Formats: sequence, structure tokens, C-alpha cells
Amino acid sequence: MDINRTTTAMLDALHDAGNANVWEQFDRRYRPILIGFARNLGLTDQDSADIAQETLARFLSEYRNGRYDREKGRLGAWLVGIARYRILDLRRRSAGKYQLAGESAIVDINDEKNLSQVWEDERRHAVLRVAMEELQENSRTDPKTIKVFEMLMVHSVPPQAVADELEISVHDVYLAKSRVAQRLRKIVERIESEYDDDA
Amino acid sequence: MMHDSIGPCLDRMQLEQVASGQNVDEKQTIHMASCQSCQEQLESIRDENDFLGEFLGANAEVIQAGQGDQHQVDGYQIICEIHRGGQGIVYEAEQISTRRTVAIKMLLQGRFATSKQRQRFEQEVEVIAGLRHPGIVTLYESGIALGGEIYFAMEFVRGATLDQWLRTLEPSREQRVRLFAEVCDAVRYAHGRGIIHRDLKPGNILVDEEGVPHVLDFGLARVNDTQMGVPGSERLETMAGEFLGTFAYASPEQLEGDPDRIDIRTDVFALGILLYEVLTGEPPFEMGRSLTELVHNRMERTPPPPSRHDSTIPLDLDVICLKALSVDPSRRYGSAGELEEDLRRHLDGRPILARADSTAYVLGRMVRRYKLAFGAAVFILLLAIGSAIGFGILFTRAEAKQVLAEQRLSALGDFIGLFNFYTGQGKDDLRVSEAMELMDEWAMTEYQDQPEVASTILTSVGLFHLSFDNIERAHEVLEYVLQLRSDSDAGERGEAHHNLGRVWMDKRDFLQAENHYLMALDLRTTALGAMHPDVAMTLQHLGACKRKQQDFKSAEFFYSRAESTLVDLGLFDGERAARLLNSRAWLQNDRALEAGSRQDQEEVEERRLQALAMFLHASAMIRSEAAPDDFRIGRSERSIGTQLRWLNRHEEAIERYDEAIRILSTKGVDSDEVLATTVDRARSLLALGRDLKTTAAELHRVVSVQEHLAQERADPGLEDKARQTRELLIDFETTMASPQDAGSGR
Repeated sequence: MDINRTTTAMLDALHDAGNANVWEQFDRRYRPILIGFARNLGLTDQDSADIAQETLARFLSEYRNGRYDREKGRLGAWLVGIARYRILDLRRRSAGKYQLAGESAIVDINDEKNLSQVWEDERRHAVLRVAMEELQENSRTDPKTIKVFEMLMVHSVPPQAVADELEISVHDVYLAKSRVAQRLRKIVERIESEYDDDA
Repeated sequence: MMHDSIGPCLDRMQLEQVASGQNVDEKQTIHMASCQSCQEQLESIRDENDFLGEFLGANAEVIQAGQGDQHQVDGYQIICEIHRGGQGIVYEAEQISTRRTVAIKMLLQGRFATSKQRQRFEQEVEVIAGLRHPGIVTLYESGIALGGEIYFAMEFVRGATLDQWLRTLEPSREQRVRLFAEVCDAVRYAHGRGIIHRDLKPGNILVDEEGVPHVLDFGLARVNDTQMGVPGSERLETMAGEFLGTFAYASPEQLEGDPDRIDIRTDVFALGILLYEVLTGEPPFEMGRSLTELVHNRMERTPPPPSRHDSTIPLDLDVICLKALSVDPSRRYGSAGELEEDLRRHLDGRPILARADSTAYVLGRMVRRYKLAFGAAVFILLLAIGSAIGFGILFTRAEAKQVLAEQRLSALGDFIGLFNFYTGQGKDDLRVSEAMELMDEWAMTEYQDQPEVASTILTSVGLFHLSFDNIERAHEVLEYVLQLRSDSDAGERGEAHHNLGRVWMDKRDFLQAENHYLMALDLRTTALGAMHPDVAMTLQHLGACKRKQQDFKSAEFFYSRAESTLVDLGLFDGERAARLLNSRAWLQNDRALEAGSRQDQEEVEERRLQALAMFLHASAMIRSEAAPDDFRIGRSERSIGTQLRWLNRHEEAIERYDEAIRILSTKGVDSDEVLATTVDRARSLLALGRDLKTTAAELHRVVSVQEHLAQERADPGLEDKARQTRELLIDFETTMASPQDAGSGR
């Protein structure tokens, strides 16, 4: 299975109703963004998951009925449009009892610029999360370098302590950090290019 | 050319230290200042750190889940985490050398915090270090933790936040006001040192076990550079326009995002909100469901006086609170000290310095507020009653009528009196609909025995119900007016019939409407003579009524009589003329359609051209009295655009539509009118086969907004419009799919 398909390629393949793989990929790429998006608009985790589900289902049916065309706008904007509608619907259905919590409630669902910013932030987060997984799982980076990075960055171990434990110089600790940063940047760049619709 | 740098370049480790904000020695600092290569490397490290900061931020959940470790600070024993907020983590810790308990605050993202976060943090340290006041949390020291994070150690206050204190101790009002005066004193002290807190909220005020308040978290404070000297001032520039405070306690000027307008009175506003909550337990402003709503509430609504929530709250405290909460900073207390002074005066039973604002100011503000908030409705309402009175004075000579006019004037005064919110009796947060109901009720009861006064006021109310589509209520009220006027003169009865005609028009019962209009015409002609603007008005309405009945010839007859009456009176100008011309233009279009059904193309063309001329004439009339971007001009551009479209002059039509959209969008990009004009414009573009893809995308958006609005307002008219837009979209898709266009898309 080609996990690095671009959004364009996915959309093309999605016309084929028998191609479950591609739908799975599409789902994997966009579901987390949709969930994050809905949470950002003040929905609970459960509601956010529901919204993501409804949005994806609706997208698929609209897409297969030819209602979405790449020429008409970016995929992200289309998904935001559907999700927004679902969220408004949810709020309507539960009018009165729906309590938005905290500062997240101030994202104005009618403000499209704002919504597309929220979407873009979530999309970027998703990219960075996938990059993290990739770095950990199938990176070509030296395991020791990764170890340095994890100790230094993830566990906030002081640089001198990292150097002592791994028997390298502090200078090497910083170099390792820099190498990982560069590697991560490349991974992020590549993943970003797969979102050829939204980037 | 290369500059000569002093001393050797910094190595990687040293550069990393500089990038993470640690100190290097003086020689290195001097070298850095002159070495381009070191500066570039430093820049790239910072860039890298910013990227890693973003990266770790996105993965924070994963990271935190797998992390049980804790920060370490040299010289301190961390005991436990007290608070984890947006900006930092606060620990309770023991300073090993002194054995005293301190609070340690450090940045959540530690060493790889973005430079912006770091700047804020450093600023916090700098600011607090200069403050020594029993009501302000004292800073002991700051430094770099073992992990490289900046931390600072500060006074550890054992107690509760202000809101917890209020909830758990349920202090008396006097205790609450006394405590609040102390908070003001602490803020006053900081203000005296040029320091604005900018983020005052209950969570930032700790009340200790002795009941002494301590203000903390000066993380957002802005050092007033005129008092603190130049260093750091350009750094603060980076924060300009970036809103950092907590929305619930933000002042109007903070919400507007204008950093130049933020001064110590911004804190006074936040103190006003806190005082309000301390007194009533309720927030003064509704948060609103969206940012727009929140801003709207904050900018345009005066909160109800605290005594509304608790009638035992004395007037003084109402006045103090509302003064602190003035939208306009110049109407607030000039400083926290002034606010404190009034609170202390109140506590001592001395007269307060703030005066309840004068009625004139209250009225002015009310008018301004309603003008902004409700499209001038109440303002116009008052104006309408005012002009009804003016009308009475101008057109009546009899003494009895003069008295009546004066009574009406004083009735208006009474009504305005209802709004005086500082008396605590009035209603200041009325919606228009509530104001109307209040007015109905009030006119009917107060002026029961003076039907002529009541009927004048009720007429205005009825017409406002009508303009807000509250047809049933309008019908009831105006029918009642007719009853009240059964003994009045012909002119007044004529007016009542005319208005009922309007009601029936809105109810689409055109025969009933016609009856009332004919009665009105008869009565008005008798009372006022044929040459009168009111007669012309009734004639015009009769024309519209006939047009609705598809009796175009009669319609034209009434319209032209109305027009010639106005022309003879020298009153055919401005809005009045424009309306009549627009009506006549629509009539021509109706007749064009009729001619079309008879296949008479020549007549169709001729009537369409006549309509165009009328719309253009109407537009000129509007422009003669309107500001350049008046919505009426926008509407008239739209009509002209549509007329041009019907004449297949699409290029010209599009220009008109563009102008209409530009003007109408100032009211909001998703207003019904803008959406409808966008659809109109799309029709012309489709006819030209131009910009099909972008326009189709735009229409998709329009449909979704229209559908949403239709559902939200349960408006079948809008639903219909959405359906029409969807149909137009299908036309677009069909056109785009046709062979001649298919090639250009990919």
C-alpha cells in the first residue's frame, strides 16, 4: 500500500467505490484534523468524534455524487464547510443545553477566515504528529542521535547530563539536536507536499 | 566587506546558550555584536529552536503522557506542581538555603520556548522585581533551571483565588468592598510606577489566610517606557496589536486590539468587571457565543446596574461600578486610585466623587448605543414620535390642538424617563421588541383617558411592529388606533386607514388593503385637500396595491397621480421621489412580462428601457441626499444592474453589481442582500460564460450560507432563494461540462 499518496492521487482513486484502501488513507489523514478542528470550536471529545464521522461520511457521499470538484475550491475548505454545517446542526439540536467551555468557545463559527486558520493549525499539528511517528519508527537517523534528542528535548535532561550519560561531548549533544531538527524538517516538508491540495 | 571582530568566534555550545537566553561573558557579547558569522549561526539556531518548539507543542500530549519527570532548579527543592497554565507551570518549592517556601514559575515549553514567549517571561521578571507592596506578590529571584528553562522564585501565598474566596467564605458586602479597595490600592501602586497589569482577573488575585489580597501574574504587564527608560521598549513593539488578556475581563480598547489606546484605565475597566462580580456574583457582560457577539456586547451595551441583581446594593456602588465600566476610557476613573478613593468614601459614608451622569448624557448615550446596536430603531422610534408631535404643532392652529401637542411632547419625555438607568427603575438593556411592548403597555394604560395622545404613540409603535415584520401585533395595535380615533377628525382617521392598508398589504390580502386605502384617500382628501403629501402617499400605496392585483393600468394611473401631486407641491425629490420611481420601474417590468406573454418583443424592449430610465432617475434622487456609501445607493445599483441584465447588457450589469456588493458588504459580507446580489452577478457572468469556475465556487458558498440562514430563521423565502441558487449552480455545472469549455479547466 502506498502510504505516501498525495491528496490529488487519493481523490482520483476515491472515485472507485471498490477501493477501500484509499478511503482508509483518506480517513487516516483527515479524521484527526477534523476532530481537532471540532474540539477547537469548543466541542467535547465525544461530539468532536461524531462530527468527524458525520463529516467524512457526508464528504464521501457528496464526492461520489460529483458534488465536489477540485476546481471549485480546496478540499480543506470543502471539509470545513461540511463540518461547520454539522456543528451548527448539532448546536441547533441541542440548543440551550449545549454549553461551550472556556476560551475555545470564542472561535466564531461564522468567521470563515478564523475557521480556515483553525483548520490550518490542526492540519499542521497533524503533519507534525505524523512526522514524530515517522522519526521514531522508520527513520534513517542514528539511534544514538535519536536518544540524545529524546533526552534533551522530550525529557528535558540538561545537555551536560545527556553528554555524561551517553559519553559524548556537549558539543555533540547540540549537533545531534541540530541533525534531528534537520531530519524532522525534511520529513515535515515531504508530508506537507502530500497535502498538495491544502498546503 | 567583512568587519574586524574582536576576539574569537563563539563555539556551538556558547551559541546555544545565547540562543536559550543564558548569559555569556562580556567579551563574547562584544564579539557577537560585530561578528556577522556568529550572528547568522545564532539566527539559525533560534530558527531551529522555534521549529522544534512548534514541533514539541504539537506533540505535547504524547510527550506529557510519557513523561513523569520534573523540572529541577538549583538551590530549590520542588515539592509539587500547583498550577499549569497557558504560559507556565507553577511549583511549590523550598529554598534550600533559607528553608522558606516559595512559588517557582517556569515556561511550559522550557528551553525551546519561542523567542516571543521568552521575552514575555523576561519582562514579567523585570516588572515584578521592581514592585514592593503588601498587595503584590514579591519576586525573590530569577535564573536558569538545570534544564535550561528560565524560572523565577516568588512569594508563596497560601490562600484562595478571589472567586474561591467569595464562594467559600461568603463575606459580607462590606468585607468584599473593603478587600476590593485593597486590590485597587495594589494596582494603584503599580500604576504609580508606570506598570499596567493588563490581565486582572479573579485567578490573578489571591486572598491569603488573613484576608489580605495579593495581585499576581504580571506576565502581561506592559512597562511604561516613559517611566522605566528606553531599554526594552522596542521589544515591546513585538507585542503590539497582539491581544493577550483574558477575554472575560478585557476592556473595549483591548478587544479592538489597538495597543496605543491601552493605558491604566484599561486596568480600571477590568477592576470594574471584578467589582461587579464581587458585588453581584454575576458577570456584567454576556460572553456571547462568538467573538463578534462578545465584542458587540462589550462595545455597545451598558451593563445593568449591580442593583438589578440585588436590590439592596446602594446607588453609590451602582454609580461607582458603571463609571469604571464606561466604554469610553475618558469617562472612567482616571486611575485605580480614584476608584479606591470612591470605594473608601462609600465605606466611610461620605459622598462619592463620581456623579450619576446627567439625563442628557444618558439619553445621548442611549441613542448612540441603540443606533449602533439595533440599526437606529429606537432612535427612529423616538424621532417618529417627535415628528408626530412636530407635525401636530405645524399643522394645527386650534388652541386645543396646541395643548394636545404639548401633552404628546411630555409623554415622550416620560417615555425617555423610563430609560434613566441610574435611577435604578428603568430598563437600560432593552431590546427593541421589549421597548415596543413596554411602549404599547405604557401608552394604553397611562393615556387611557387621552385617546389622542395614546393613538399617536400607538401609531408609531404599530408602524415599528410592521417594519420589524411583527405583522399580527402591528395589526392589533393599528386596529386599536382606529377604534381610539372613531371620534377624531377625518385626517386622523384617514391616517389610521392608510396604516391598516399597509398591514393588509403585508398580509397579502390586497382587496382588504384596497378598501382601507380608498377610505384613507377619501378621508385625507376631505380633510387636507387633494394637494397634500399624505394624499400623494395614499395614492402611491393604492398604485402598489393595484399592481399586486395585476391591474397594471390602474396601478399606473394611481402612480402617475401621486407623482404629479408631489411635483405640483414641489416635493418630488430625495427618497420620496426615488421610492415612487422605483415602484414605477417595477411596474414597467411587470408590463414587460405581460407584453412578453403576448410575444410583443417591441413593447418588452420599450418597457424595459423605460424601467431602466426610472431606476437611473431614482438613483440620482438618492445620491442627491445620501452619503457616498449609503446602502440605498447600493440597493439602487443592484436594481440598475438587474435591469441591465434583463436588457442583456451584462458587462454594464456586472459593473453595477460589483459596486452594489462593495457598498452592501460594509454591513456584513453575508447579509441577504449581498448574497442575492452575488447570485444576480453570477447570472450575468454565466450569460457571458466568464469566470465560471470561481463564480461557481462562490455560489457554493452562497448556497451553504443561505441554507444555513434559512434553517436558522425558518424562513421559507430564504429557502426558496437557496433553491434558486442551487438551480443556478446546476446551470453553471452544465455549462462548464459542455465541450467548448472542458478544455480550459484542467
